[in-house]
Amino acid sequence: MADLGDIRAALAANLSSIPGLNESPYLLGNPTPPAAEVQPADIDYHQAMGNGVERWTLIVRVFVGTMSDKGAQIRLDRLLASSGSESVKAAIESDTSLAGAVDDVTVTRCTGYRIFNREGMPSVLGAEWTVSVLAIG
Amino acid sequence: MPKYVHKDATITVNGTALSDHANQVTIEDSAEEVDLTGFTPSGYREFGQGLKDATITCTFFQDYAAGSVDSILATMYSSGAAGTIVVKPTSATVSATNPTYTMVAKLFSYGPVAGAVGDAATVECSFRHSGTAGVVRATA
Repeated sequence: MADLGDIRAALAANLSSIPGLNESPYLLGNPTPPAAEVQPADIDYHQAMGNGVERWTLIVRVFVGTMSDKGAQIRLDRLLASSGSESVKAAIESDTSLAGAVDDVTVTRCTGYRIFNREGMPSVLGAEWTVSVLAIG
Repeated sequence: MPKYVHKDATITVNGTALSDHANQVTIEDSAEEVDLTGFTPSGYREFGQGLKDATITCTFFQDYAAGSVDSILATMYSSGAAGTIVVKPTSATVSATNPTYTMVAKLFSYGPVAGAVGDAATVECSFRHSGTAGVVRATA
């Protein structure tokens, strides 16, 4: 059976290959850019008989810096790429078994630029990636 | 058993349970309709059952591991040998309300790779009747 904690930890471990990114398997209360967090989203149970397969969707959210920071935008452009040492997609898919926790992992989409508002603090620039996980139920 | 949601069927192919890789199963058993209508004042046709045919159709998530979907189905198809397919509505013990349906069958086609980009890889199989008993229903 898939363990959500293992999945989140393995996703963060895959992201750790990106230089300078502070990755967390869990949601960050006050993220200090550049940072990444993992948020569980939809879970589709009973994808095979006897709950043999489940499809888990997770959101990887990355914060790169304030909107006015040109360097943050340059950094985000590299993170959005589908390949390369700073590609979030490539990092997540570098181990599609997530250290043996699941059967397969696919990064299905990315939102592109997003502005995240933080209470009492400047808004930060970032993006969200949708990760589809095929796991044993 | 009351009305239920189909989510726990068991499917075994030649003794190997493939249920946890299957997301669809259908048993179809049918007989030809033979017209036996004679001259009659009733105005209705009369039909009798002719030759029967049976097919069990399954969709599996493809898996190339030893002893899993591909190895079992590919072997069955390439050898042309008959195999035994057993389907049960739920994983509970066989009973009057959870009968097994058993059929000796062959595979006449097998597509080991299928699916669009981004889709889970699946394989659809039609097990065609090749024994003499048809689909055998058992409650014990």
